[in-house]
Amino acid sequence: MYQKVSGQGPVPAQFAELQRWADTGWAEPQRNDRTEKRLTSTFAEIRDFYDAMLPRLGESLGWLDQFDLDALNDEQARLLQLTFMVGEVRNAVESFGQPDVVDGWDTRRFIVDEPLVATDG
Amino acid sequence: MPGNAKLLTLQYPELGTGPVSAEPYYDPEIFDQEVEKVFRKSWIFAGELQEVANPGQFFVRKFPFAKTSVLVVRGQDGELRAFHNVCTHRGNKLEWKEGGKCKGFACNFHGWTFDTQGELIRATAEEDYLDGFDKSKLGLPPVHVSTWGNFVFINLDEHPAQTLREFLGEWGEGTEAFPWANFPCYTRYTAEVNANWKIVMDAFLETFHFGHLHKRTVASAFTTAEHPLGKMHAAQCLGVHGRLSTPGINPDFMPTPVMAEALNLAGREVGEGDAAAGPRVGDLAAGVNPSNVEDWVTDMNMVFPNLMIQVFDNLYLSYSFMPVSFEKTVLELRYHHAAPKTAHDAFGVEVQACDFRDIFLEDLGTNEKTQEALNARVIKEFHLHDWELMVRHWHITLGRMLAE
Repeated sequence: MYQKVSGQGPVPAQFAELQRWADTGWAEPQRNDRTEKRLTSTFAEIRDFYDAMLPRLGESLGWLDQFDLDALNDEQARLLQLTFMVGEVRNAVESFGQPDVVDGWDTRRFIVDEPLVATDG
Repeated sequence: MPGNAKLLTLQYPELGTGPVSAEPYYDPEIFDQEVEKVFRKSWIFAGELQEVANPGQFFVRKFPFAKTSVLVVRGQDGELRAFHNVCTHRGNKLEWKEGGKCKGFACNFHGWTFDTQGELIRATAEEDYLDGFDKSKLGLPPVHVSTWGNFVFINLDEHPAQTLREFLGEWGEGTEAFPWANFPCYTRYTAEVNANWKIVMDAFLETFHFGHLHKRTVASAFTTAEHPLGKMHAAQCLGVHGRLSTPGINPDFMPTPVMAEALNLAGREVGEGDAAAGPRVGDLAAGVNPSNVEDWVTDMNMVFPNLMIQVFDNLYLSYSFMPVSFEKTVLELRYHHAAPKTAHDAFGVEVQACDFRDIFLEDLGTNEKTQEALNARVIKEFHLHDWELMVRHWHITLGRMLAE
């Protein structure tokens, strides 16, 4: 699907205020790593991240929309990964009030693959 | 008899109205019967057509209830075939990968090699085998395979009583025209759950639990003060298969800001189909939205015995419940969607993938605890609510097959 980049590195200059989140592991490329970040963070840390991202979320996605999704440069891809982390934690903040699903099954026993595309092999 | 004539269950008098037995959920002997009389004789979901679209493409799938691994491969001649994944020389597991594309299969023990049509094309040092060796009779052991829509089924019976098409019957005819190919991208979720396969399946066969189990997540979209449990549009029993049709009924549902971005509300309305994927699935003439309602959201299709396909306007989910033992099930879910074209699309997919994950985790949360509690053999029967009709239907269907 779209390219993945290391979570560590610069984000686009106009989103420099979000740089500290990339620097502290909130822009990981793999779903599993994003999930681990959520599970190993306190709810307060998750909440801080969510609150910092929310005001810039629509703007980030709108700005990224103008580029070819399959040809993002590293900074753009890293910003996209930051937005993916918002998707990762949104239920923690909006629904559960804690890092993991309330009364849910063991998240780590539930294996989630990276996005796949059916291709001609 | 219950007095409310509007009850859905009363439309199907053959299913009865009494409690159903709980024993099949904890009795290992009944599990063995299910394997022999149902799983070894029915068409069972194996994978998706997209995985074997072209010559040389293959996938391997385990069927632990039969202690076998099946290799499904598109031959160089274009024909789809399935085989037991075992070398006919000394019985080594032939293909060790989950899937891919190849020109043939070479056993890594002594190098016997089979082509994509299952024929043995090379037996190592061929001239020195002894009595009875006949290369032409040592091809891979075949398994019946057939396709419907985007789905590949196998049948482990040597002589299946029905073709796949006959087996899928009225349900299959109605749904074959789905635009499956419009949703080529997917996320796969797998889980090994320590619970009977029916416990895991039941959780997805009724919406009766929405307002309770999912009260923190999806319930708000489906419930209102007037309908605290949500609504049900239809439950159809179609032979051994079935369909449950669910509306989104909360006109006041307000997506959170994150959800609004995921739905890209600037670009389209909630519930509107993905333009790239063509007309709304819910508007198809047959096989969906049986009540033909405006506020249709999703149909859950139950394909006997262990596959569910849930269709929405712009995505579908498939659920495969693979029995391992009476108290162990391998669950494989796939969330299929159109290829994302923009950052907003990609974000929408990630949010959706996480949302489904969290909802599934809520659903699975009760499974192992239910098994643990049922194993005490204290609960002998279940009293099902009218909205648990599909649970009743397939429970009764399965019971009848075991009694035959």
